[in-house]
Amino acid sequence: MNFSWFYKLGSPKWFYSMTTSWVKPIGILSLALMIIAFVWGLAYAPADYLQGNSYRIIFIHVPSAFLAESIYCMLAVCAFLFFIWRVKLTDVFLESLAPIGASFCLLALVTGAIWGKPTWGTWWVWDARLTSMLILLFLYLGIIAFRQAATSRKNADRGCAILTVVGAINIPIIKFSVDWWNTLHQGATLKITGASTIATEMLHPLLLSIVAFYLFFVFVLLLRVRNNLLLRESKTKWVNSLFIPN
Amino acid sequence: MTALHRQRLYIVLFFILGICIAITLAIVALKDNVNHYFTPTQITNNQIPLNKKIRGGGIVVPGSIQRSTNSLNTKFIISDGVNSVQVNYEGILPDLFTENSASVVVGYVNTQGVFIAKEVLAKHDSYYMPKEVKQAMDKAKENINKQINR
Amino acid sequence: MFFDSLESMLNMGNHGKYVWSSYAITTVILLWNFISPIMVKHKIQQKSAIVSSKTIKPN
Repeated sequence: MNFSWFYKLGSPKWFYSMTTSWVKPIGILSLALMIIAFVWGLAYAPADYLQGNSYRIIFIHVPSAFLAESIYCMLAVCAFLFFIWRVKLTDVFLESLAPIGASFCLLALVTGAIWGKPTWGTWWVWDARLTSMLILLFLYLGIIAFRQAATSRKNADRGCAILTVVGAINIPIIKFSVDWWNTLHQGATLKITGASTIATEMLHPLLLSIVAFYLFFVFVLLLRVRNNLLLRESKTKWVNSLFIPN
Repeated sequence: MTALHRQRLYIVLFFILGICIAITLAIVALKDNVNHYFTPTQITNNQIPLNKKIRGGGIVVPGSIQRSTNSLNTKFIISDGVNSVQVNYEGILPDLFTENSASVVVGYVNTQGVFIAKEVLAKHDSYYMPKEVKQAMDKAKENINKQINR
Repeated sequence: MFFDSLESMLNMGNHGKYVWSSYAITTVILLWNFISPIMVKHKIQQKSAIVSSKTIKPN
């Protein structure tokens, strides 16, 4: 089987040039959507019949939790591809995705804790959902630490990849924890199949916020990946050609 | 896929399989410890560890809340639809604590089978809606019940 | 607008400190995610400008 197209996809030079014109528009669009979503959620959406105004944290808690999990899935896929095919670009993605994912995981945990205090009556419980999210944060930090501490480049890449792929088992545990066990955290509100259990006046700003967050993620990911490509490929002609003054 | 790629694939799959087995065994071993709380049925059937602080969870039975007038003591009953447990609690209740909604209580079960709670948490479901929608829903339910009872 | 006044929006029915602190922390983390790579980019550009200027020899 001819996989040369696959290897082209993994070319740093191709990726860099292909993304150059996308970065600014995505950034601006994500900022605009986020401002609209926040204003909508904070000032225009109605209060919840039960939780009152504290539920407005949903507009940041849910998108960041989704992102924390999605980013880890991408990490696991990249790690898998890197470990088997050693595509350079996947390793660059690994390095760039980890800090972003860690920050959103931390955000989900912190906003969740703040939301928990007025609603549940506590900042934290060791139920399956919260515990598995905390484990996710530790996985992220472990991956980041692993990369920095390993002695040679080779060891860092491969050990990291295995840790990442193996940690992916945590993702379905997080998702199904509220169904499999008795947890304080309630079950899913947003459903892919069937009706979501949230009123439309609240659902729409939530969906917009999710879109805004994901766009923002793509924006900052591109910034990091492009930086890392420049740093890794600094000795090549195509990188140097970017900086020769006219 | 070259032989080298296939070899690496096997290594990864081996590790994933190994971890899956390890975690499944760990979860089976922990069993009830992974559950955040015991149900009233489990408490009534004494399927709980003795002399240990445990958590119980259930729906607060409507009409069962008795608040003391001169202290912070509250008595209520939690139920899972099959069995119920009487709870005694001394302290401030969370805002969302109300009848017909779920609650998690932390404490001990005494010899009379009463749950002496040191902490009470409120649990809420996955439904979000404005006040008006909730009132409309409750009214609709009331009308349906009236029709059924006719 | 759901709220009648700026005061009620800041207070959020006693939940104000929870909601606003969450949004504040969010802003910090989003800003960090943006500024961190931008700073690295500037460093790269500075370094490359220095390197390029070194290799260009005036006659």
